[in-house]
Amino acid sequence: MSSRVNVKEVTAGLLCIVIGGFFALQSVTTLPIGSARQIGPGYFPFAVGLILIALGILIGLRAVQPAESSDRMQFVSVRTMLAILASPVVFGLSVRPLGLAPAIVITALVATLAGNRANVVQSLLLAAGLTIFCVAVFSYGLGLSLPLFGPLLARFGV
Amino acid sequence: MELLSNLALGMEAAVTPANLMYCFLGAVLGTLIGVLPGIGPTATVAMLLPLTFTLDPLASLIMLAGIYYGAQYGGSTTAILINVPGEASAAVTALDGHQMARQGRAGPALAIAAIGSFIAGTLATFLVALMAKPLTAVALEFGPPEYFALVTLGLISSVALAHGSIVKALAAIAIGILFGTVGADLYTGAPRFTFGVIELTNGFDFVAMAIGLFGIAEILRNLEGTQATSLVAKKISGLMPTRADLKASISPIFRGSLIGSAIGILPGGGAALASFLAYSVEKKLSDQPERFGRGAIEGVAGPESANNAGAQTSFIPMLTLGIPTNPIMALMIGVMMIQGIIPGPSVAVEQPTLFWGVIASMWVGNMMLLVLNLPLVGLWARLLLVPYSMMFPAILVFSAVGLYTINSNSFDLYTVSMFGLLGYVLYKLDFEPAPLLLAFVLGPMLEDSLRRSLMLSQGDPSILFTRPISATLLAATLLILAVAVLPFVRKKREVIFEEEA
Repeated sequence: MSSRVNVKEVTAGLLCIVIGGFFALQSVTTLPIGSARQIGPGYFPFAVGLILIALGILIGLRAVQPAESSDRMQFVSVRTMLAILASPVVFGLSVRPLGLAPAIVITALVATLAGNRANVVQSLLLAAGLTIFCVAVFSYGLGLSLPLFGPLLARFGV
Repeated sequence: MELLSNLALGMEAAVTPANLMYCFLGAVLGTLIGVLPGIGPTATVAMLLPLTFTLDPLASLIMLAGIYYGAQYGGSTTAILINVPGEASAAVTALDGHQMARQGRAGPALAIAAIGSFIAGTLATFLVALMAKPLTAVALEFGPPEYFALVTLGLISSVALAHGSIVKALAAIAIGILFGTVGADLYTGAPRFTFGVIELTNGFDFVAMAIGLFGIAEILRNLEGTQATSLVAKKISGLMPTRADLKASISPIFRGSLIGSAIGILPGGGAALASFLAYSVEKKLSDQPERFGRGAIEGVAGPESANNAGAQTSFIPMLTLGIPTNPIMALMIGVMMIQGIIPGPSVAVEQPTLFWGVIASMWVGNMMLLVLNLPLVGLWARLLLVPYSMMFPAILVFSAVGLYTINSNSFDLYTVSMFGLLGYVLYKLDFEPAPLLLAFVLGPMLEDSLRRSLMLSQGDPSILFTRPISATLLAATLLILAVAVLPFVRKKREVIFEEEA
């Protein structure tokens, strides 16, 4: 029987210890803990942080048992990950300066970069379709008072 | 019979052609908006709220009830079809509902959700009418220690939902509670863990967190490796539930209705806790608990019924005490105030027509839902046949626009990406997002009730164990934890024995 440590479980344990440690440390250093009679803002997150650290250690200890299956974990590709995580951020950054319609176009185009078979014509058609649909539903259907074209574009006379 | 005369009074007020039309309109709009991925019931109700301002008080509350039920059903639809629950209570529906959809059984899942909701709504309406007075008296008995015990019970119950490790589920709860503490402290106003970010003063946005943890993480999972062309592996077979489906669902529907009604009445309990509990109960009662999480229809029927019954009875604390039990109830109170009604004990006495009219309108709203959605099940299920390469950009765009409409706050969108990444990492490490999300919602309540309890007892923690209601609730919590941990310990011992042998 191999004594190889289960990497997944160790990572899981470490993640708990890091998150718990972060909150516990921040509570102690930046917030008043208070007393049992009048507990302060730091008391509760400090206690829960400690519990999470304890749970993390427990998970880590059990990881000493070898992994049940040795098959490698499969991850999403870096390009897909970046494109998916970037698209809400891109919308958040662009919706105010550029307005709703351009923001949707950009967000949709960024999102389609995540697909394996990104096809330029298909992506543009999808972006156009989504923009028309969203503008119809949100701006006209729900009467959302978001400018379709933002101040940055208005300056150029759009 | 006081009950029947009260309900008759309510029906008389609610069932006029004009009010029926408003209710129907509300249900249609609520479903249409609620079915868009990433837009949960709270967002839907908030967006449609302005439509009701011009109506008279009863009509506006009736239309709002229609919107609410429509939105909730729409939320369940997206939970089932694309695993994007709009709120905590639908997260439970997604567990088995989405698995059913993947197996080509989206139709039966959606139909049973509608049927279960309707039966639960009917039962809960009668229960509300019957129990409104005595239950209000019990709810009034609840002090901070009882709230603390109730929330603890709810959180520990959600551990029973986890497929895998109990320790990891407990850790997920702790993580959720910690994320819930971010923002200004309730008592001192001290900013906690905000690092000077003004947008974090009110904490992380629940919807943003839910979209990230469930929606974005789900998209990332689906895009791993070779991409399937559409979400359904198998053909969609049979839109309506079979006789066997109905038979399997009927008991869960009734149990769910009872659990939901009981939990929903407790201020702070609400629909989310009810659906989590109902799911745990069904899993525990089942002969084949291993089917849960893999497309068990009971796992859709029970929680959906509980969810709806809980939503209904959560009107009781709202109407009688003026306490909102969830964000939607808070919106309802807002509408009542705009209409010049101050929610509180006086409403039932001074405006019985309105009080009972609203209760009756819940049932009318549920019926509208059934009439509207059963014929449309096929349409919703067909959404799944859209190729995933077109689906996921659409989900991302709808989520982004929908989320932005709630607070007009770009920061929420950055939150989505952050929690999307966290959700994916947690999934890869076998943590479950559902207990985390529940803990995020209930965490602040847990802290608040703990602090108030300790203030009450001047720092003596025994107050939590000595009051009868809270002692009973905490004992039940220990029991559930023991039941959940025991098989796990036994299995581990077996593993140890095997290694020694």
